[in-house]
Amino acid sequence: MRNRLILFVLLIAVLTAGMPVIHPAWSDDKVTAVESPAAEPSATAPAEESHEDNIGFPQLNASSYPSQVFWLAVAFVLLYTLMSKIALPRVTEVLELRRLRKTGDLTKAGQLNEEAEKIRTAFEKSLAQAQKSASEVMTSAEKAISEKTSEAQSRFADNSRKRLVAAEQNIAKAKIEALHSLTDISAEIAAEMVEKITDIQVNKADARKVVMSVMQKE
Amino acid sequence: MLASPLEQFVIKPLIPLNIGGVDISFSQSALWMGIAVVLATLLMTVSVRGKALVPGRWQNISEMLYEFIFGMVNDNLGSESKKYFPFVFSVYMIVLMGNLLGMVPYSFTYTSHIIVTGALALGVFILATGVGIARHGLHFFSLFLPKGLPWVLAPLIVAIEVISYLSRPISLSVRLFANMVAGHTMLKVFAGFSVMLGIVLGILPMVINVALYGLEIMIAFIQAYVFAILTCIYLKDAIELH
Repeated sequence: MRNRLILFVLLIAVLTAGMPVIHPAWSDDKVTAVESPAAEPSATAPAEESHEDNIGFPQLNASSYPSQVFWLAVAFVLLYTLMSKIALPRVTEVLELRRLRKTGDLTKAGQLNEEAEKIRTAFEKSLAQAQKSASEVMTSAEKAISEKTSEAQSRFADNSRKRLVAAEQNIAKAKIEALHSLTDISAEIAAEMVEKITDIQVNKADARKVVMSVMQKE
Repeated sequence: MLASPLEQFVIKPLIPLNIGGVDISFSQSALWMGIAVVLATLLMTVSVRGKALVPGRWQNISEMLYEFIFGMVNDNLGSESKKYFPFVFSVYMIVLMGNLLGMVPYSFTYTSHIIVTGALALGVFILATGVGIARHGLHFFSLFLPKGLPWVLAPLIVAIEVISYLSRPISLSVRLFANMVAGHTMLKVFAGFSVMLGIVLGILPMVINVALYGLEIMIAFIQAYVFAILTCIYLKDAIELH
């Protein structure tokens, strides 16, 4: 299909573009027609109009071919030299510069990111450490407080026990003293009573002995 | 009364020049080729002079052209792309500039001449064939014999392949030439209608002409692209032999 299309194009091309090459006489006719309108049958018409009528298809005017090919070659060689030696290397340089800058920036960004990650890890580590030491301080403080409290409590308990014992001892002592004085008083009262009732003088010591014996009996 | 729509294609010598009996006058065609070379060079050098990291408008155009053609060459020629890139780029630029400068009123479209497109296409064809023969020697001619072909069909296919190969420069040049001639003739015809119909009715052909002008600018790019990509493909064929 493609080949057939190309064959068709080839045919058309030969019929159009190839014509002046294959039949130089044909194109020469045209050229002479343009150059010498007076030779045409319509020479009676004004020269300018006849010129317009006879321009034909300017692309097939082979007389311009050498000049066009020559100047195209000059222009193309010039353009190729300018492009390959001056223009394109400059654009390459600009693009390369940008590419390098981009990759450089990307590496730098990667490095910074890594650094930031490191700093974050370090921060998290130190935070965890701080929390740990804080909890340690808390525990030790609690321990110290509870120790002090229990110590104070035990000291208080000791003190109060000691005072209680001392108080009990005092009470016992007072009781004994009271009892002693009670015996004396009783002996005195008994001696007084005996003296009053019997009019017999009783020795205080004897009376005391009697009271004591009575009290012991009870 | 009105000029022929084909009059725009007439070559007018500006500086008559004759060397060894050959007329190589500097015509308006040559002038516009020169303008194309100067503009292309200015575009590709001045725009990147700042070497801006973030490209401006003109630098962006240069870089886009560069990367567009480089991508195309790279896709087709791979590791060989560095060697042929300036050539393909120059071909693209001279065709593109010719097509686009032709859209400037009162200018001349040198790509509308079959001899210009033909010479360019022939240059591409000779280069590709030369590269193929220099690289593969006589083995290059195996290009005309596809692999795994039954021997019975060989004479026919080889004939077709040879014709197809030889018609490459013709199809390449006629495609560009015909597009340019058709487009410019059509623009001229519609412009002629506008002049004939006067100010009021002439607006309609003018509106059509505006649309056609946009289409022609698109075709200017497409045809330059086609010319360049076919150059790449022909070079690829010569280097890889299928």
